[in-house]
Amino acid sequence: MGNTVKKKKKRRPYLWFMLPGLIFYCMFMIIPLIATSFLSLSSWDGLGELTFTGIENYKRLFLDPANAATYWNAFGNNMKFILCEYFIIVPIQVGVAYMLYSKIRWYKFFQAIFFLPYVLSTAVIAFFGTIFFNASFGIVNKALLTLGVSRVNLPGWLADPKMMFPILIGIGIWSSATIGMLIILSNMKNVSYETIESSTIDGAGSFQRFLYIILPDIGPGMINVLVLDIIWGITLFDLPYMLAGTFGGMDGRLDFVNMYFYRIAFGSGSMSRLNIDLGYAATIGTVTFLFILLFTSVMNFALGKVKVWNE
Amino acid sequence: MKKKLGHKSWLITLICLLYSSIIILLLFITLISSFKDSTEIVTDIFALPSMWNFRHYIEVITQNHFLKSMWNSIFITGVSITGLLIVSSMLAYGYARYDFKGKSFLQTFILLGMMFPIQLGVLINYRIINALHLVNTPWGLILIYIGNLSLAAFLFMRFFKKLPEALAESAKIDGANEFTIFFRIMMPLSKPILGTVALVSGLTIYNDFYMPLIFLSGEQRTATVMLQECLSSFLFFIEKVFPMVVISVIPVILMYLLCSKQLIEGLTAGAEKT
Repeated sequence: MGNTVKKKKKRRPYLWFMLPGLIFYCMFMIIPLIATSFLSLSSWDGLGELTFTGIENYKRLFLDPANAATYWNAFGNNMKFILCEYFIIVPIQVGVAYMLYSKIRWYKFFQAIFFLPYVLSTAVIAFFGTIFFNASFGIVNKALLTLGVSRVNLPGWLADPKMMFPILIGIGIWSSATIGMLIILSNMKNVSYETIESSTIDGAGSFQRFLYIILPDIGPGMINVLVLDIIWGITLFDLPYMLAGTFGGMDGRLDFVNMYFYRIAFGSGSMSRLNIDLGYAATIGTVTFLFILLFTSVMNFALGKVKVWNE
Repeated sequence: MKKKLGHKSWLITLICLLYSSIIILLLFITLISSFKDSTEIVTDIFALPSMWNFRHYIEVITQNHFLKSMWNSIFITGVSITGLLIVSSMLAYGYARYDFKGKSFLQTFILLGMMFPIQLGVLINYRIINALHLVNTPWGLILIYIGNLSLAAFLFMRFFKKLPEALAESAKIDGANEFTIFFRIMMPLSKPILGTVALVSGLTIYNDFYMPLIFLSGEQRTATVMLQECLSSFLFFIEKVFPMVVISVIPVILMYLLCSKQLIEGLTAGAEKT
């Protein structure tokens, strides 16, 4: 960093430049994060006295039968979602990115279509999901009817608890895979053209080229995608909330940690304000915070390794 | 030359075409259904409307005050973006142009915000905004959105590091002070990055659901929240949901058609570093 400025006066102009941003950032980002973890060690309904309770909330979260069941179910769903991201969504992202990279026919048009859902809000995405998968008048079932499937055999889609999770994943791929795809694509574009050209001369087919040249080269970029996937997977809220409601639908099949957090922190429906327990909600938030911290550290460690391999 | 690369298999093209036509069909159905009555929608979602009337658009605007919600969304987005651009560009400029102790720590510190979504601090944020008496006003949300400046600051940092130092130095010799240099010389040079940041962050804020859900209700609701509320009792609001979707999607689709290239650039740049 060679940006030295001769300090003629003893003033520090950089401070004045950075101060407003730092104040906003600390006040609405850093302090809330830190204070949440302190709050997790206490009991508070938001109005009365705040009492220090130590790790009581954590015991309740992990061990207390009534609460832990809900939490572990939600957490399990988060894990399931992350696994689906890794084993279904990431391969699709890589595949589509490679298609765009290798400039398939009309790729500019297809790229525009693939990236379109990114600009739409989750509410609009959920709306599309509804008109697509609605059991009685949705597009899929209407199409199946026209194709001659009898009304009795029509799948229930969103009304069928077993199909909710796969549909969530499907809509997730369609709507949110974009960012990862972009990162992977831009990493592919950075692979030097000469390497690729020489491989073509050596007679490598496009699949071999993909497997042996491009895939190893996008390693570091992939780690970023995997990290973003963890963050996305553990903080998931909008889509399941919209598809299945505050409680995550039947049997809590679409219940996620963040939705449980929301119910405890802000109450909802049958759980009135009486049930609000900010200390306990903070505990849920803190566990998520630690989860992200742990996994990003692990991934960054792995990233260091990948860099070493590539040298 | 580069054209030799890549497969031109018709199978892949066909699959992509099929996928694209589904998406276009979805958009088309949404548009035509916004002119239909609920019975018409339920009986055959593919059929064209028996008559094209704007009745539901008018209802959505006059009865549900959807334009008010749209205005809330746009107002919050506009003000947040303005604040965010000023605050984060200054922060990044101060960071990139000067050397000082703890610089690398500061970078890590600022990037932390990209790891932890604002949702995680919402409990305390709610208390802070409540203490400022700004719950259920646009201003509470605006403050939080400006505070969530990691991505914007990061994009600006990258940009300012690349700007030649000589520019600022020569202006300094002419007697301009630091802030004049920043606002008169650096800002005009930063137009492309200003656009990118405005686009990427603006989209996130306009489409945000979680924060408005918690902080706003009634008159103050944003378009996304109102849309979701109607969506949650879909059958009841069915003929209103379609016009709402059309209205709320118009600005983003327009923006997408006009600046998709810049948007994609900004998104990729922001994601390259975690």
